[in-house]
Amino acid sequence: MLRPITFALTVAAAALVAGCGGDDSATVTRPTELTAAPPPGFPAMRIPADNAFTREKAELGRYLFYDRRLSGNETQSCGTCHRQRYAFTDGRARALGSTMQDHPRASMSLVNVGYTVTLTWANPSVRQLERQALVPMFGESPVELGLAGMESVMLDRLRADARYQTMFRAAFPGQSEPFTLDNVTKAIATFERAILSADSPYDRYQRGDRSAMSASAVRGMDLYFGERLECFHCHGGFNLTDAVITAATRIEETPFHNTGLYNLDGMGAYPAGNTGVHEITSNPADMGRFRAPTLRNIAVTAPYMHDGSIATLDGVLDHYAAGGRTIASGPNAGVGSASPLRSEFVRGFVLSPSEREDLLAFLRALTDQSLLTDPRFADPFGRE
Amino acid sequence: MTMGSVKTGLAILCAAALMQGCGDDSHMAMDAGEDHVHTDDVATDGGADAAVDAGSDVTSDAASDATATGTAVEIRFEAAVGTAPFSCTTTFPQMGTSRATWTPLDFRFYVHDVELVPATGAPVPVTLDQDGTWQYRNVALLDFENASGTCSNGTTATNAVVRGRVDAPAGTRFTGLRFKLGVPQALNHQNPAAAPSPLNLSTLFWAWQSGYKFARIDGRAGTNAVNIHIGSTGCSGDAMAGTVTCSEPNRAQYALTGFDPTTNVVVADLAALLATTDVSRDQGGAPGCMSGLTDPECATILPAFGIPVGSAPATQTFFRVR
Repeated sequence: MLRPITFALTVAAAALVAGCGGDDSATVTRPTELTAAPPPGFPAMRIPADNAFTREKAELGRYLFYDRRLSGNETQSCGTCHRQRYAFTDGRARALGSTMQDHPRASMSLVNVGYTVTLTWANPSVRQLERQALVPMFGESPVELGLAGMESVMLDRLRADARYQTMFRAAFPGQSEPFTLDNVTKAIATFERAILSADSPYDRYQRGDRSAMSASAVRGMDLYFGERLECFHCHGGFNLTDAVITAATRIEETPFHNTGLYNLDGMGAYPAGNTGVHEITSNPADMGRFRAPTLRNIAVTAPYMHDGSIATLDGVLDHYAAGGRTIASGPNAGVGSASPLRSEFVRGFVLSPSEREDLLAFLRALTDQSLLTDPRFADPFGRE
Repeated sequence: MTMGSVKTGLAILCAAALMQGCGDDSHMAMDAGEDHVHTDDVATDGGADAAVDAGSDVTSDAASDATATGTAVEIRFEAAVGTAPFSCTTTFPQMGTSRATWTPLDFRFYVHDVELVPATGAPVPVTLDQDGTWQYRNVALLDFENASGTCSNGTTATNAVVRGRVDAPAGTRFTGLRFKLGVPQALNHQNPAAAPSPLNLSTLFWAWQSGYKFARIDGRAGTNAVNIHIGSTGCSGDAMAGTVTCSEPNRAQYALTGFDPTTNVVVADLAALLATTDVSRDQGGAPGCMSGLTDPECATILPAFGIPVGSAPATQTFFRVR
């Protein structure tokens, strides 16, 4: 049994060196243009019927995504808080808006975001990228891009650019006036759907390249997918999150979880202004419930959690090993593991030092280096 | 016959339920539109009563028919601060419990499902003129800021009149007015980036709840920002699939008596709205009231709109007839 497989892998490795790929091998030919076609092992993406994917729209979206004219004071773009080198996060604990207003939350990764059922950290009603884009553009509490009341100004800025005259007409052919807010959000959403990542060592290992991960990372993978640690319950599946939607989804799940990160009052309270789904629903049972983000590229998206309150992956493991974080003193003091709202999958565990190293090795094996430098996703203005 | 009694029965039940402050889908029947229970116990010198519409789909075909016929009517509104007319180029003293000076920043709100109540007979819906600017289907935007003075983020255009037609004989004497605050459920969660005027103003987008700000009344007292953003909250579901529902629709429903459109105007009084609120300091939550049930400022501002918070009944104070 083993010998033919080994042989096939050898062939695949040879193919890799030669730069060509085969569907059934460990090698994958990276696309050369923006596409929403599913990477190997991924299901088809659900794409809104009124916003079909086109290369022209995605390319326009890339320019708009990185264009600072999409902020009121022209100091920020989407790409300011979603930087490619950090897997489309920003390296900050909490984001900073165009008017220097602090955001209560950390910027989320946009990797594989086209497969995400609910967008942002904790909002059950923001489901489409086209609609989500309106939050950073026009939101006022907090101000992000600061465009409220400036949609006409913004469109005029774009209209005045000869490059956009060409790109908008190519992306939205047949429209007499393609410079509309609707088209801006459609183009940005189309680009975002093309930000696909499926070429980490873990992916290559899954596709059959047994040399892609170290022995330590393989041991870490077994811990990750084991019932002792329960990581995979919320961070499982092809996108390492439970909050996915695909073209085949018929029954939509919108999971959110309280991980016991805070417990201010013994009843599970989170700090005011950052209470998760509760902020939307006012339902006490929704206190501290946030979406489980994908763990793809997690090693390059520090600091961690919805508020950036844990600096390192090691610290995150401490939080989950304790079954919830204990904060000894200060305004946020409390014992997270005693929270009555804590997810049943956050129960705590004991890791030996070597197991911890293995788990960290696996988490680092989730980084798709090519994503971080792929010119298809890069800032065309060369700033970010 | 049966229909009428069912509606009346439901309306009374709803009114009773309302006094206990419930606001869930059991109020769907509030839109029946045939009950007089709110108005009969209110003095006719411009008294008003408010109820909260649970957000059912009330967009009737009649109300959205651009080719409607009937008698033309105008419902005139006025923004005031106590006895003074609202203006973006002045400040207003003695506001709220701390008697603070108010610097205005914005004053806009949507209304929908406008009905006139004749001296005798059932209320008649006002079919809104489809003017392409201020009115769309059964919703109208009233806009009292003109981007001058301190209202720098506003729009120069203003609108203080709802225009439409009623299916009633010319000369019909009206004695009451009914309308609801905000954007109806059927329009509230559509794609605002592709919406027609007046639903395409980004300052009135409320993307985090997948809807609109029904009312945007902003100001400052000293350095304290007071942003009054009323809209549906507790929303979940898929906006593009049309399945969004909101636990707190926050569509206050008003029944003003003593209103004859030929002689009266509806006064939206900011001083009355803020009479029981301390505007000089924010006690928590969003700055001002962004419809949060646990926001201290909302505890007094939402009821002044006629939107109950918790179990306490709400008596609106914002609108009066003059």
